[in-house]
Amino acid sequence: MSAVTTPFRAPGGAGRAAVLRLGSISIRVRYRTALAVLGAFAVLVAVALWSAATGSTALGIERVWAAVTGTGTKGDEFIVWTLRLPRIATGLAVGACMGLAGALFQNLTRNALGSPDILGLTQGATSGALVAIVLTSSSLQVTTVFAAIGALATGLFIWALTRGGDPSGYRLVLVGIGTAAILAGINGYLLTRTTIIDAFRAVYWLTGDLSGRDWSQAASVAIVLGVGSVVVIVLSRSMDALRLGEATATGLGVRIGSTRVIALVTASVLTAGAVAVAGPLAFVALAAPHIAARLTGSARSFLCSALVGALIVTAADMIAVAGVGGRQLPTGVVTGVVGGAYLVWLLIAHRKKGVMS
Amino acid sequence: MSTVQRAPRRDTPDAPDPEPDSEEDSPARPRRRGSAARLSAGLLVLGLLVAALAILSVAVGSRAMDLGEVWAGLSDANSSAYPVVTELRLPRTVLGLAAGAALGLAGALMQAMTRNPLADPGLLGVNTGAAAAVVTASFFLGSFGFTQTIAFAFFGAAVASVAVYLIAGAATATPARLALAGAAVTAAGFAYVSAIQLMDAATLDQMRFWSVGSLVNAHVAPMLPVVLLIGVAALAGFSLARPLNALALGDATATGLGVDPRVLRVAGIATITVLAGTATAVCGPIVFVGLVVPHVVRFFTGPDQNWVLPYSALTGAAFLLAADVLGRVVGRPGEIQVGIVCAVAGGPFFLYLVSRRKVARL
Repeated sequence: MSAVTTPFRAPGGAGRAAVLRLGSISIRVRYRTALAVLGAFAVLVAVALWSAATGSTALGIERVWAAVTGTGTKGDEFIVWTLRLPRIATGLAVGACMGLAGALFQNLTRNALGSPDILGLTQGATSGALVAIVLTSSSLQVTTVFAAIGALATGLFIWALTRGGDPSGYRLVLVGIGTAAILAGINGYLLTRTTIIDAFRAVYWLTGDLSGRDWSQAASVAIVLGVGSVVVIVLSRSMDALRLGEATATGLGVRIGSTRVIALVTASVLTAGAVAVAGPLAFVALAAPHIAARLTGSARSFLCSALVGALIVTAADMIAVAGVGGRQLPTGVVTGVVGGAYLVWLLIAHRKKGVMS
Repeated sequence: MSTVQRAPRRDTPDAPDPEPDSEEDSPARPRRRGSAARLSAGLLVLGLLVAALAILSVAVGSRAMDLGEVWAGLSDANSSAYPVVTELRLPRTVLGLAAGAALGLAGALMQAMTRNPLADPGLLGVNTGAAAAVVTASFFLGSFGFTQTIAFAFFGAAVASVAVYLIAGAATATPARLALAGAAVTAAGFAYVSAIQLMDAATLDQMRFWSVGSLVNAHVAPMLPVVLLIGVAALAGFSLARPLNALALGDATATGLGVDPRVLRVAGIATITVLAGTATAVCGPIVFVGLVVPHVVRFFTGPDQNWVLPYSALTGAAFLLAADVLGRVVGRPGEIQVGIVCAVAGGPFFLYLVSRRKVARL
């Protein structure tokens, strides 16, 4: 077990680093981490620009720029401001939320497979959405609210069961998989008890999609992301200490219990926000921290994980819009393939100099 | 091998393998959870429980029978119960036993081999591979018989687990890499399955029933090959108990004890694929049994694989049969699929155990 439950360790030596000082605050920046973060950010900007410029109507960068600055035609402005930018913004925020949530969960459980998909939060959101779709056959807005409630209730449930007692991540893992299994059973039951039309809508939601998202949805995920990021920044030192083990962390003055609770709640809220708006985009939360760790050569990079999450979703959405054979795909179909394929490639390419394996 | 229970899991400081194996969040300190005599007695009780559940499973259904009728149905070809018992309920019971034992055992092997409590046989790609193959066949060939479905599913499961093994680095595979490769293949396969389902409503209609897991097709399944495959693989699985105990001490220590971890991994993956692949091919993915039964078993046996493996097989069989009977009783006159009952009825029990008892680590 220990081989996988403690995946986060920098490869031999911590790497060369610089120290930034600002008054009494100092931050140590590893060159490789900085390089990975900057690289991921650059690719992210490029992908976002590219997806704003392409699509069913190819605009090109100049026309997008004109529309953004208000000098383009009415049609271009509509396409850019109403159709494309909200969708891209939603994708960025959703991906970043999922990347952060995944990194938090992998740190909390100290398990390479610890992610909201495996610990039941995604299933909780799905149950909420399925109840909305199957029982009330309601609109997307109601489904969104139900999904958020489902995920948050699941997070609360897991927290209630892990409260007190054994403070290690192990109980959290067990409670998580138990909860996930129960909810998956309920979801399967709901799916078999409905008409094929509702089942189709449900599976569509279950796959996850970004089409038709507007500014209000982008804003709500962005707010969740902002709050989550602040908490993660405050928490990051305690989380680092926790990785050294409970005893060491206590010795360093970290309050283990409250750190874990705050991290669990934050990860739940991030997941709830992202899944409610975009559906459970497969694999983003699980893959992003691993890809980030392989890029930076260090496990402690919430920032890079968020960037990679955003990158996976945005790139997947770009491919989804381009579609196969003239048909657009749901985003969730592509995130699984993109994230899975990239992780497979990393596993093969880094076979000899593996970071965490 | 009971001494293994106490062994702290630490690599030697100069271990050549840079696995992050040496960190332990708290020292391994499980108490010994029972003497050999107690555990043997428990195994016997469990066996009796399985037998009782098997009889119950034959007797219960949309038409309930008493024991006399069951016996008549088994022995007297002229009795009115004979066709129901021999053609429907007996195959179903045998399949429930075989699949439950296979999934429980495969789950225990998987968790021991990857040393990860989140691992289930599905992580080798078995479920996804089977689902992808069934979906592909259903999409391109249209509808086809149940025997073909089984063949496709088994083939898909085998291909997926070989792919996972190769991606994880074949002979250089480590537990962490296996788990990650499995997760990646599962994600890609899941995406493929949902894409096809969204393109073709007929496939979706077929898959939503397949994917919850059910014993309802037992009477048309080719019983003999299924039981034979599972039986042989189960024997192979039990024989891995000692080497797996050595592996629990870390790859380096296992090598020192004369166990080649690479050979063990190949043998383990092959066994798990046959066990879980067969069960999944016939019943659809019943994730819960493989994932949760080994945890429940370890609460009572501790981490010694000599006990964990047989207990997991028997508990898996008992659990799946009980869930199937419950599904038939509750859902009367129809039934609730066994996969759903497993999760919804077994889940809370598992959560109760987890929050009450001291957790037994792998």
